[in-house]
Amino acid sequence: MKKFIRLPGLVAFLIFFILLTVFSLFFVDGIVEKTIEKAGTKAVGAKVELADADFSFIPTGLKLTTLQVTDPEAPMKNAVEIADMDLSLDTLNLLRRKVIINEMSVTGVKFNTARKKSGAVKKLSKTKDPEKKALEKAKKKKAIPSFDIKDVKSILAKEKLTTIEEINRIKADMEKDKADLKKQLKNLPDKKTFKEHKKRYKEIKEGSGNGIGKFLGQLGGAYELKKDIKKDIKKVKKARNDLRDKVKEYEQRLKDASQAPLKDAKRIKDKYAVSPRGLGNMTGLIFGPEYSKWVNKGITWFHKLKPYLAREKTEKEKPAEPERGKGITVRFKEHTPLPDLLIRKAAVSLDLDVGTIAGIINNITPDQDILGQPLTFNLSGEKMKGLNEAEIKGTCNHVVPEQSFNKAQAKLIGYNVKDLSVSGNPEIPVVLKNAIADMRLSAFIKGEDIDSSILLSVKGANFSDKGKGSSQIARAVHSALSGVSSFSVSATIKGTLENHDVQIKSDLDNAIKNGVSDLVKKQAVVLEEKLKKEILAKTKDDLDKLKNSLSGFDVFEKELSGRIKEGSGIIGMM
Amino acid sequence: MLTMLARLLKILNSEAEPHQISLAFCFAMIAGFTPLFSLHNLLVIFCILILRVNLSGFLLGLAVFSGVAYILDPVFSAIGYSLLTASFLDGLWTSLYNMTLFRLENFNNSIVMGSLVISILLFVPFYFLFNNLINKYREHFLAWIEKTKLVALLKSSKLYSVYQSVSGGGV
Repeated sequence: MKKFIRLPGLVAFLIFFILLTVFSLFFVDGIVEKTIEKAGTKAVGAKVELADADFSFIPTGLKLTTLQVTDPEAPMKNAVEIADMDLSLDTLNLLRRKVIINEMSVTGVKFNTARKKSGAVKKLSKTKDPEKKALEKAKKKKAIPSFDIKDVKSILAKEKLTTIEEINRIKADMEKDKADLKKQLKNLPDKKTFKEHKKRYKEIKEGSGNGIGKFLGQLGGAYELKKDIKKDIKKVKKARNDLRDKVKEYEQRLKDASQAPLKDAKRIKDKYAVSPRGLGNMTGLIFGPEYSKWVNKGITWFHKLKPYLAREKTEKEKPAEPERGKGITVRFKEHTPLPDLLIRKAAVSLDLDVGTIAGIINNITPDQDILGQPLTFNLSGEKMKGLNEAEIKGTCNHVVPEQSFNKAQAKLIGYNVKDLSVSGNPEIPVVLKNAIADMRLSAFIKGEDIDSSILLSVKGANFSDKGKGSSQIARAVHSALSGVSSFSVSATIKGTLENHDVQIKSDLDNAIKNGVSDLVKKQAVVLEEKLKKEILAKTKDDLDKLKNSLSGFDVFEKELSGRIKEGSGIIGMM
Repeated sequence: MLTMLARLLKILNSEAEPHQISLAFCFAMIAGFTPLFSLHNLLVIFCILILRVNLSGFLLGLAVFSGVAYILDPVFSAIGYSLLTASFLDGLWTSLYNMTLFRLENFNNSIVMGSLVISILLFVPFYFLFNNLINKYREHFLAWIEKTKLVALLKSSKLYSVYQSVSGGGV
């Protein structure tokens, strides 16, 4: 037996085992700390740092101190900083590789705290951030109309003028009509025709034969000749009347053409100047970018938290090629199913500038379908510094993955606003110097669809003069807002998380509209005057030439009148 | 590399029984092929300490098989995944999955399963194979190798001084 077994080996194994345990006890804190930092950084896309992790075996628990989560968009700031986290772990389940935290207390949660060092990490993917993408979209869609008077010459270079088009049409019509008249004159009874009539008259007068037969022949001939002359005169008269009608028509068209520059000026002004009607949703234009920024920030964080609310189920389908050395973890049916990670109850306390908001979050797990219960949260605070009441509650229900939804409601009552920038639009900076605001928010996300509303009611508003002189529109808006003490702004967000519309309505619309419409009207009048002047100068020569060209029809008038006179003269002689 | 070759020569030329060296290599294969920080490797360590196994051989084998495992990693994962998803084994895996000890073992990971199954399957054949090879080496090659010009050259080289330092003396 001794040939195969060495008993001192047992002692060696015990020593090895003890050393392994001591090593684990000694280094477990560091391993936990590094694991949390690595996993957190990967999930957030910016540095997640932990000052200290303290793992205790009996009872099994973990205490985390100063957890800093960098804001990926502002690496010199922490999106969240948590002073202390105390977790009590279920030991038996921990051995089964399940992190079940029965109770967790999170205290000293602060938002937007400054960092000493940048928390940026190299981005692995070059995919455009959805928040940035949506902001760019909002900017493109809701640009503030420009209130500057435009360069008239550059506008006219782009625009087609109906005045010039009408002048060209008249000119072409006149030339065609003159050519037609020339042709028509050739076909009408002319001097030669009437000369022949005169000759016929002479022949009739001289007559042939004698007596009564001659007289009757002359009478018949004269009657026929008179009939022919009258017929010819009628033809010429008709042509002259047509000519006179045409001239009258041209006179009217030229009169209209001389009025066309005014119509052109008005039409172009309407196109390029901001109309008072176009100021319908000024609050949307002013507050829109800032609202969109808040909404998109919320959506970005929702995307980041989504994997922790519901794990993507892969079923039995073979997953993508695993990382080398990692392998694929296959899951089997459990007799008493439990999620891999579950925080049954988290007592959270948020340290905001206004005071502390505290509450409970239940059932934090990416496997709600296994747990059979949704995540719920309810946090509130009362009588804080500059805030009477705050409450945020909701549920993230992914128990049935196909019907999962997220619902949240929040209210801030009696919030003492101080120096709050409410406009994200650099052209019109609007800062609320002080006011008392109530805000109610409700959000509903089902799948990729979002349906949310925010209602902001403000009393005792006092707007700051900051940025007042930056532009004409800014001055007009500030002047309009100076008389406003209470207002409400409501926003609805509808669409998908990727592609949604933020619609903003406010009773400030009328106040801003009235304040800005005077400026708009003045600007429009100036623009119209400039346009009128420029178009008139551009078309005057052509119009004058056309007027002169109208006198070219006089030649035809004279010619036709002459022929009528000649024909009438022959009839007179008879 | 030189140190490793010197160690191998020392082990093969030592007084240790061939089966002790073969067993060490086979245990090293399990510990080397499978992820090092696995529960079953605690049992492997227990075995190599309690059984009369050549420890130097184990350490050398561990280094070699860990390297081979890195190359064979995709093969282990594929085999392990096939076994874990085989419907006729589903009942067995489900029972094991519900036992705390086996969850600690992380058997449901494709690499752990694949590498463990392969190393256990190869354990006995490789034991006899290594045994055979060592016996043959000692019978036919040891004396001949000692006399070769190559060994004479080696003895005058850096390799020999390294070998001397790990063996603490002559052959």
